[in-house]
Amino acid sequence: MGMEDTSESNISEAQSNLEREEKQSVQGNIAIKGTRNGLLLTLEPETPFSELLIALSHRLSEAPGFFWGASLALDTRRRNLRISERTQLEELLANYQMSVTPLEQTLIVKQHEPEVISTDVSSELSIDVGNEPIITTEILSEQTQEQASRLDPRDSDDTLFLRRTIRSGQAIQHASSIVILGDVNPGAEIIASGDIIVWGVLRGMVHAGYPNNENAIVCSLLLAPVQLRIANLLSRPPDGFQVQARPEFATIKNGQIVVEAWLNGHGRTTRK
Amino acid sequence: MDSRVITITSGKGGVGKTTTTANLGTALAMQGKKVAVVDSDIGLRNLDAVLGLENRIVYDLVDVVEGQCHLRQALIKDKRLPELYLLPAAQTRDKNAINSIQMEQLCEQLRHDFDFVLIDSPAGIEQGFRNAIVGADEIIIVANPEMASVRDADRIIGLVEAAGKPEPRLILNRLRAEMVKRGDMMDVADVLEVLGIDLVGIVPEDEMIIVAINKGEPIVYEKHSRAGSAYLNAAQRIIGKEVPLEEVEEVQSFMERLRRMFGFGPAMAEKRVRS
Repeated sequence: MGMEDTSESNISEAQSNLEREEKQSVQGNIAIKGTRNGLLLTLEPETPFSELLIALSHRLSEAPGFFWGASLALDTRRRNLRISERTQLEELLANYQMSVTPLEQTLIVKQHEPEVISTDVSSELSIDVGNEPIITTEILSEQTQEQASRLDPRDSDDTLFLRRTIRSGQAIQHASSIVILGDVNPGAEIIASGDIIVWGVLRGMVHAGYPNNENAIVCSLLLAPVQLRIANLLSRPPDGFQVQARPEFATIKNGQIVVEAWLNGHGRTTRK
Repeated sequence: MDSRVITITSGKGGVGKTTTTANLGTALAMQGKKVAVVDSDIGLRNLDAVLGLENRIVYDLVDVVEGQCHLRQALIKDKRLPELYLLPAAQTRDKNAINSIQMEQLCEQLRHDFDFVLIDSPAGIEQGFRNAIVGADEIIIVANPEMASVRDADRIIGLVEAAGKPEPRLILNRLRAEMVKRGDMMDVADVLEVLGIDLVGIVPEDEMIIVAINKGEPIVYEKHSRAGSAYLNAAQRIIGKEVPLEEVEEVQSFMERLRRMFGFGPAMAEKRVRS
């Protein structure tokens, strides 16, 4: 079943909204379609990425309530994104609590390496998929989840690097590790399947190793999160907790989240 | 004309947006600038009362946008300053009475006739807020030195950046020097540590403000008011003059500074130090 079929099978008020919105957004070189698995974003292949990003930004700001929290798949049949472009896209979507679902990754893995589990997602992203029909994403994403669970997301070199302060109300979600050069303020949310490294003050909520990677770590120059989660564990500073003015890192040890000082830059090797 | 459209916003309510708009507008007009202050808080208008102009309103912002009147018919000239005008909000309508495109057009219209257009934003992050910032060249955020206000300000900074506007600047309002001294209130450095934006002014808490608002006279007319002079200085900085920031706090001990720097509030300072 092709993507177009799934979009037609869903008849609702939201759908008619979508069709109207699609017409408008095609003019801006982007198209957003509704599918059974969420929204599908198609980018015009000839337009510079910066213009597409602006068009998308306008598109989102016109109906922020509609897009809030939605998950968006990227249609790479006509255009692929470079890593830096993808990062910018994710940053923009994060303002609306939106996340990118891995349609493109699943497609590429399926079509080019059907037998091999790809650990190098980033280099795959630039491969042109051509105009082959897309197989239903539902089945594909199930397969990838299976594949993904056998991988450590930290082995991927698709780390998200953000050079800014993450502010209240902003949510960053990424399928690999996240490095932030800046602060994470209270009310911000960072969710990574791999590690989270904050070169700055960490005061927001972070979730490393999402959903179940117990090897993930969180480290920061100053670790003062509202709440810290690794894999399926959750911890928060005890009442009366005094924040330490030193770099620290958090890991899972014996089924508990443990915070320790990052000593001599060898935080991870000091584990006993 | 090299005019500037500046929106005054905060996220949280009750931090002093309207007071700040009225006083900055008055102070800029006292400097000889031609100023329009716009109340975009449709349904909860107050800027007219703070300026003492509520009984002169005939037409309002929504009338202008809907074409019921010309812009110059709705603009109310200030009692004292001939170069200061108010565009009042409608009281009987709500935030959805106008949309972003209309607001942007209105800002462009005002830009032709004024050096400064100051827009008083409603609290919140919904349509009213988006209308208030859509036509702005610059954003000034008003925050109080307390956690809820600083968090909301942080949220607003993120939204302003997402809207493609330049980094906002900050007016820290209602600072109480004696509470900071006791360690019971966040100080300037605590707030800047979190928000990381430039400061336009620090306005101390001042009882005279309440009297001034009730009288409908901006505090900047009060020569002896510390809040008034803080607003005058902030207006100077907006024009681009170098004015040193007010001395509002005593120098704290090194340890106290260090401890407070990393916590969010003063409560942290009293907490146990982990060995």
